[in-house]
Amino acid sequence: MSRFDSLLKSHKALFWTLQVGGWLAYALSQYLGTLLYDSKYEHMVGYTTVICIATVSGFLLSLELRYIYQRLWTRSPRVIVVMALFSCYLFALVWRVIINSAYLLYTNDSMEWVMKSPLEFFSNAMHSSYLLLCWTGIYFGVKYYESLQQQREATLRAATLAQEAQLKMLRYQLNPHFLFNTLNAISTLILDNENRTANQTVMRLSEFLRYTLDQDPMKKVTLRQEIEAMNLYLTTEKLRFGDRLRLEFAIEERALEALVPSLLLQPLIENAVKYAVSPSEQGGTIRVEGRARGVMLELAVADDGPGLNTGAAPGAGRGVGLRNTRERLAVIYEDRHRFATLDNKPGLRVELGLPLEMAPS
Amino acid sequence: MNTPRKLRTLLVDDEALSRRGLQLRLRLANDVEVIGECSNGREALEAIREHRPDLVFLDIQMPGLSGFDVLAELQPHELPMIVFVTAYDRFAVQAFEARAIDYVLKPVDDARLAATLSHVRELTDQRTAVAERNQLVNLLAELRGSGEIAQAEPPGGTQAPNWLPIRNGRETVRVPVQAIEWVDAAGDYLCIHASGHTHILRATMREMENLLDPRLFQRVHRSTIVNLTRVKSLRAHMNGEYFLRLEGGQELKLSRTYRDKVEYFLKRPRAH
Repeated sequence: MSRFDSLLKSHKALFWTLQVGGWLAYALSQYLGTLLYDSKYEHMVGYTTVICIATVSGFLLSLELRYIYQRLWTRSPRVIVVMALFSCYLFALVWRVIINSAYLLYTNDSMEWVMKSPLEFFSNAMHSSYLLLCWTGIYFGVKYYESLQQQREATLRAATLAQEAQLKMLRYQLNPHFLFNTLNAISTLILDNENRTANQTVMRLSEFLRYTLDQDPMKKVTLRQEIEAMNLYLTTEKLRFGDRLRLEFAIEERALEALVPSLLLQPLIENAVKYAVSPSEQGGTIRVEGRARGVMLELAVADDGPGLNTGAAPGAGRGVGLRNTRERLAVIYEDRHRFATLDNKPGLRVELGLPLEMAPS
Repeated sequence: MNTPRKLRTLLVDDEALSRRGLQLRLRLANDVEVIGECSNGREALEAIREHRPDLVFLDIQMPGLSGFDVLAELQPHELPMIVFVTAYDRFAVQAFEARAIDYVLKPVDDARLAATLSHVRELTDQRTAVAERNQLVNLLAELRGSGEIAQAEPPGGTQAPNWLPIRNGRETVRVPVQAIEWVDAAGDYLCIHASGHTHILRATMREMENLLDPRLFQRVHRSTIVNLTRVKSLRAHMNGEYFLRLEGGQELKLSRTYRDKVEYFLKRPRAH
């Protein structure tokens, strides 16, 4: 099976196998045909010689045809058909002259065929051209099949690449605002001689950066890891927002071991900070929930901000994070996921449902 | 030579650490006196009107009123020197650069801050607030887009409309005329102040004057139209100028040219 596969893959090997096998089959069928027709031993020597000459010349002529067809391949189908028919007939004429000459040379008069006119060198040319047309049909058939296979493979590869690229694009990207504001906070802490806090913040920031930079968008992590990374981020933000940022976590122990695409919740958390906490003088509360229900892992990020439609910020700011999350789930889980945004009155609640996959323990 | 007066400075940023950072750095400059700190735009607006600082470090992203909103509310005579502070805002920084408007980036670089302060000191003597405000309003129009009056002619002919439709791109905002507190011109733009929002649009004072009901709106300055019902008090200034104080604490100047308009505020309402 594997040898057959590799044969199909190697263009050259396939051609030569078919070419040699085909012409041997031709020779055998001719021989058997003659045997049925006239099996006298003294005649058979002459016939066999003719068959050998016909086979070898046919073999060589079809190689010529292949040479022509290789050059025709890129032309339009009409040109290919016309030129193939024309070539077959022309080559059949040449081939017939060779075969008929062989008959005259190697078989004797006791057999019924005696040439009466030089034009008879071309007799049976139609019959031979059918044979060459068969060869042509097989040649183009195999070639089309091969190119179709190649195209299919290319399409498949392109689809895989596109999916990967899409996931890369949709994955979380570090928010420059967060980075510069945190650096500013650290700089202030240093100026203020609060070295311990400054150092802790640098450590947290670098751990969070490492987490966001190292993650492969195709990779899944446990919810526990995901929540830990989120905590690094939120603790850093708390340094800036102080009491204005309030957090609530409600995550079941069992759900913590479930697998989720890495940094899945991060854009939702950042949205909540940006639209519910940052724009409000009193700040806001962010609530994260996670639980395993049957075959689904249910996650939710809720805030008590202005909700979806009443956001003062123009444009699709909040929409980008939501859309990317939804598309990412669709690419990874196809229709085996759930995504819903609910008006919490006040605030926005984003609910995600994904197939429950537990990390191997 | 006497020492120059200290720059009375206000710090506006919603993050305490960020204000603290600026304060620590400004300590190094001995001619800067930090007179206050505000953690949102609303407080900033009140503090600017109350304390009249020379210089304000104004964060752009803030809860409630943003730095830009604060700016749009201020009249030329209230306008301190503004230095914008932002952590990361490519578009705003490009716009600042193009208009030579002062800004500093967080974390604030000491050398950059020193350069900004010396620039501010140079400007304190020769600044023209009107030109500065025009420039700032141009900046706002560029960063946030500006609208236009969607329908200049009221459908009923001579009757003044109750709603002012302002078209900005695909969106049209209908501003209730009653809610308009005042309108002021800045360069090529008009700022319509209504219900705590400032709408920037491309129109002339004359167009706006023709559109609004004269019983409700009167021009009090070359670049100001005021809603008469919103004026709370009137204070005589010099040379026949007046200051009108609105409900929100806003002060508008009534110039000598429009001196005869004072009667609108002094007479008792009369049935038409």
